[in-house]
Amino acid sequence: MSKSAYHDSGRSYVTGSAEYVDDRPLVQGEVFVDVFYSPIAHGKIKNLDVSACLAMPEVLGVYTHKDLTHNLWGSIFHDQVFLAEDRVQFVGEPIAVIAATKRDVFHAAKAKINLEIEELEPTLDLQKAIDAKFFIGPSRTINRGDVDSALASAPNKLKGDIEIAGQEHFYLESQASIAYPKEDGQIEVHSSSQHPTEVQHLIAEALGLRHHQVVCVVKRMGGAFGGKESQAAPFAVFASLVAQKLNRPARLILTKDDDMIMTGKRNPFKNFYEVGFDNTGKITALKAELFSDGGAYADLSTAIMERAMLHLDNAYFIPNFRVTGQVCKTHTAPNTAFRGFGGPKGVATIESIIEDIAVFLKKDSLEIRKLNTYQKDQTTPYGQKIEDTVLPQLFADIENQTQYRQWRTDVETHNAGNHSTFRGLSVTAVKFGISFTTRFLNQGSALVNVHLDGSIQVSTGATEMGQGVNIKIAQVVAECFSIPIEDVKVMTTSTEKIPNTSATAASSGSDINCQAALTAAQGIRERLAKVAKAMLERPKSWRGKPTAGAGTAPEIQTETVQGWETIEFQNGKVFDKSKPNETIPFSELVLEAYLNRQSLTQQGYFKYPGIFYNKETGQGNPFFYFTNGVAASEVSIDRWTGEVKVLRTEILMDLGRPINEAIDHGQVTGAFIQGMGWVTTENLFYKNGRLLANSPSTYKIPSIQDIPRVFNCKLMDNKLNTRNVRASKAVGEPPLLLAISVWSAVKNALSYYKPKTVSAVSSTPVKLKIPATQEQIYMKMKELTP
Amino acid sequence: MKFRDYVVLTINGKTRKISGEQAFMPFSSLLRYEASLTGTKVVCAEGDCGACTILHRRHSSESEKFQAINSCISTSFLMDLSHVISVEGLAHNNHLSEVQDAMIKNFGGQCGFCTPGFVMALSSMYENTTGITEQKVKNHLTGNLCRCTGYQPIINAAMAVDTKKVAPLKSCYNYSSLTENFVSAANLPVKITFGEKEFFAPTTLEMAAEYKKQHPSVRLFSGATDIGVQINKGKNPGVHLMSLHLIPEMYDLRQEGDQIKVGARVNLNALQKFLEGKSPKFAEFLNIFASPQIKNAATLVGNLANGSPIADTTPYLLTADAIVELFGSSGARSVALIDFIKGYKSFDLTDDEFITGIRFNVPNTKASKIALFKVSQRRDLDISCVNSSFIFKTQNRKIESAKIAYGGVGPKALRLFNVEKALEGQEINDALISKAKKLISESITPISDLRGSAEFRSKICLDLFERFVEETLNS
Repeated sequence: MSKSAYHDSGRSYVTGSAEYVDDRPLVQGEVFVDVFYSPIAHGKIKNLDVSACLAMPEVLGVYTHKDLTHNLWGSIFHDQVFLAEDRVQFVGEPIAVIAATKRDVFHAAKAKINLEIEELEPTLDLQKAIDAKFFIGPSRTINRGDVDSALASAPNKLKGDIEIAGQEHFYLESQASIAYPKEDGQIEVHSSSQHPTEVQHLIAEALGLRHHQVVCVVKRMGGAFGGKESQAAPFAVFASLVAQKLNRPARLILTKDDDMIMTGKRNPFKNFYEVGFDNTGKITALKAELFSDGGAYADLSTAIMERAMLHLDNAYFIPNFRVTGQVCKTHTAPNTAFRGFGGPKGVATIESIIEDIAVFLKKDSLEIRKLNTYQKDQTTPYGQKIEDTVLPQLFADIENQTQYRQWRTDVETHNAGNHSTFRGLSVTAVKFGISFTTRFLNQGSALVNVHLDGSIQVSTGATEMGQGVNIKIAQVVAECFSIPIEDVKVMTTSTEKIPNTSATAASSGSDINCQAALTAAQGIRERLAKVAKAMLERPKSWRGKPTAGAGTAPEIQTETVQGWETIEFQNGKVFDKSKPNETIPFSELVLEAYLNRQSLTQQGYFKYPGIFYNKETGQGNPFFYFTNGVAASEVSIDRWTGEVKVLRTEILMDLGRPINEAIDHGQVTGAFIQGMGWVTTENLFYKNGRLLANSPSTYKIPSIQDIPRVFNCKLMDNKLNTRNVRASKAVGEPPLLLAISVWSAVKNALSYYKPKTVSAVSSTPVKLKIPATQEQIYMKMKELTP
Repeated sequence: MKFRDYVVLTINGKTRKISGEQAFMPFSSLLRYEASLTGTKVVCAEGDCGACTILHRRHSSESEKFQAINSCISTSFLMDLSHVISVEGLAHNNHLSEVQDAMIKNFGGQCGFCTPGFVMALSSMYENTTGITEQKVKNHLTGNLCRCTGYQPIINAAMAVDTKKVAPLKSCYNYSSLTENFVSAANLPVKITFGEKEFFAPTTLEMAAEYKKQHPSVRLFSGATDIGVQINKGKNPGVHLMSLHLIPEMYDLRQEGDQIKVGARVNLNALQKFLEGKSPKFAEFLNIFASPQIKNAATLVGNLANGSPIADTTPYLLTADAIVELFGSSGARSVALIDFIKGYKSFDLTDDEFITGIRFNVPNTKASKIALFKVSQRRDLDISCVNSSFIFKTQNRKIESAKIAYGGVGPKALRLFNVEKALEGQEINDALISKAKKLISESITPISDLRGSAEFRSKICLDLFERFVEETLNS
């Protein structure tokens, strides 16, 4: 069995045969759907006249909120309308749904809708929302110790704030859904969604159906990153509405421009802090207020804020700690899940603080980090115990493996020379809590079906978005039976096979669904082992194939089989350990089990044990475990233009024992570069609430030229982790947070910046926003130039 | 006069005649929705992500090599007399190409949506270059965005390909038997109508001028790397559309004395190759212009005719004293580029005229001090915030001649004659540089937009000049 089985869709990808929603062949009568949305950020709808649009020969229908049975939704609070009623609250808010016979008429069709809006004053700025107390949901607090007196007695203090911008997901496949009307009022929807169950439920509610009348199918997504956790649903609802109204299949595929305008992003944050520390750099107290920009509706923002608060400590023990978190409302698209959830915003804040402490004390920031790193048995501010010594180990390893001292000397030597660039170096860490902080989401189930030729189909609630969850599930099942990976297929995700699923999110997809599939497979394996034990003890002539039809042999009664635990499954063969030479091919055993009336189908179920978190007290044991890592990044900044190059990044992560190491490596490099885009070039530029950076020509995600010139990723050898399925660890989100090392390396570089006219570098920490765009860095250099 | 009412091409080894509505579709739509070749993906529909990359070769071109282009911004009629291979056409009898195989084995695809585009761009790289290095791989994949992998697995795949086993793409299909009717078709002008739209491809300049005279609002298509974007974003290009691809002179590319002459159909990739050794600074600058896919379709003339104040080649052409060659019903005419650009998207061009080519001076690289700069949010494949070109001649510390141009600092690209005049004949010293910076400041009127604030633009223009002085003039 290959430890790194190729991605199960690898061949389909490279030949172009992998099917995404819009690749499904058109069926008879299928219509196209598009969404007419608000052109302004805040206003009252005075009149909506769609008659001219409806008069177009290609237009079959225009639908508004009046056509929906139920118009309110929301993953946590039901505060959002599918289609605007009497007011609009962000540019891109859906107002009407258009159905047409052709794809290319929508520009013209939308231009024919006459919308009269009375403009209202919008709130577009997070600080303005903070000042006006324009809030969504309650304020939350996590508190430990006495932060105020610890701050009062701290030898050194720094006070400040950090502004963190949002980020567009830029999944390549834009939001896409096709709804097929079925007999008896049923709807089958194919959606590019991380959360088929929510899609199913919302369609049912919006259209006045019962859950059992809707099936949501997800074959795969062309990327998601959290952007299809909650926000795929409205588009599936719109397609379904048309399918129901016209009784024709309906296809809604957003353009990238519309997708970027209409859908929410990573929440922007503004975090205020006061930190106390001694002269060695040991942090004694941290008080912080976190504010996030939720956009116009709640979406998942309160849960995202929770995770930001739970990650403000990151890898560092802070004895006196108080953080409060509050989601704010602005008239922009409702912000949503994005890889890392709130984590990156908490972690960026503490890593920035540490970078500043280092400048303040004139020390190397790595020393400050090592000094404050969690040791075994210390507890987090929310009361969870750190059970291992992985973090100090990671810091020690990266320091040794990269020869950090020499590296630092090289950077300083360069900066002392006369070059057109100056450099910075920083190591940051991640300690990412694995589990949904909402307990009931941490459950999942799977269905394993063994077919009579010994091949296996597995279905789970996991959705494949490129992260390789399906190949991991297939590997775990194949290994359970010790059969070739080719004999196991993970099937299209569908709510009719696995209902009541959680979103594939929170990095938990592999953990939960692999374990559920393994539990199911183990159930079948036990029955097969019993059949094998019985077969090996009976005359060969009794085997089912020749006798079953004739009924000449007694049926195996698995309930009475003893000693089956000695049955081994190895390389497609099954045998008793005591008689290893007498083997049964796996496929023959499967057939025998069937002929002896044994079920070859099993459902498996898994929930993370031992987790709880009280959101009101801010205390508990919210995480099943932590995924940890460190990264060292070196950047170079052009003195003339502020252009940043990432010269080198070294990543070291603890991923336990990976189920598929190559897949995990790909998750690490991919998440890191995505995070690097967030902290460097990705600049969401708005004008009057309208996103102008709404396509890749204006919104710059990293290109292949932007990745670190030297880019290495190593996995730590961790044999001690046994907590999770196959001793693996979740990988999806944590490495994104390591990209903060690039941003703090920029901060570090600026701490070395010495304009020609100045004799010594400043010891005042440089205040920097996320992202550190070229323009921001350039302007910082100008600020530092008297 | 006899016309064709179709364009003819081959797709994955099958000849196809395209007429009527299909001719006006984006080529990616034709592939996906008319030919059921859904492996070609559309993400941005503006040539910035590369998911729609296909392999393309003009039948009449000298080279038999296929090159990567963006199919989403190529209108189908532009595929006339071309051979196209889509991702579905690479594997034969279930046997994958080397690139496909390496991409699987190196985990080059995660969500898979960008993967066909990367496979095609890599196929183009192996088709057109040898001696593969990581940097070369990056240069050939600048036009492809991936949001999942962080690119490293794709680079690993590219480096793992055994180049000896890579077969030339022309061997995919028996092209000699496929193209029998191409030759006769090339002699016939094309006229395709659908509804009120008309596409016209003349075979002579005179026919083109006559058509433009009759329909002054006609839009000329070449690589369509800008107009294709506009169409996808819902802008109507008008009813009369024309392409000069059947006029052989439009492919003219040569050096005459100290001038280089570039025909209207010469794409930027061909130009860049031609310039290497002749005008190395300009050739090098084209490295950070757009992407391979764009450069394989876009033309120098198009970059100019588009009229953008931030077009990347304009500052250089202004400093190289470029001359624009025009043709109209009364014949040929030449006009200096500085006079040709009258204002924002406004030219010295009569209704019946169109651009047939550009001539520009090749600076004597030994005697000249040259620098070209581009400031953008992302270094590669990005529209500039500002750009600039400096061509100076110096004798010891004395400036004999100075040519300075900036883009992105006003409604049109500017040549700063007043600054040049102040510098010429002067010794380089700090006072002179300060004076020049002050004059530059006074000459430019940048605005704030999403690519940069006015303040940033103003300040960095001075830094670019200072950098030129420090790193090029003083070196």
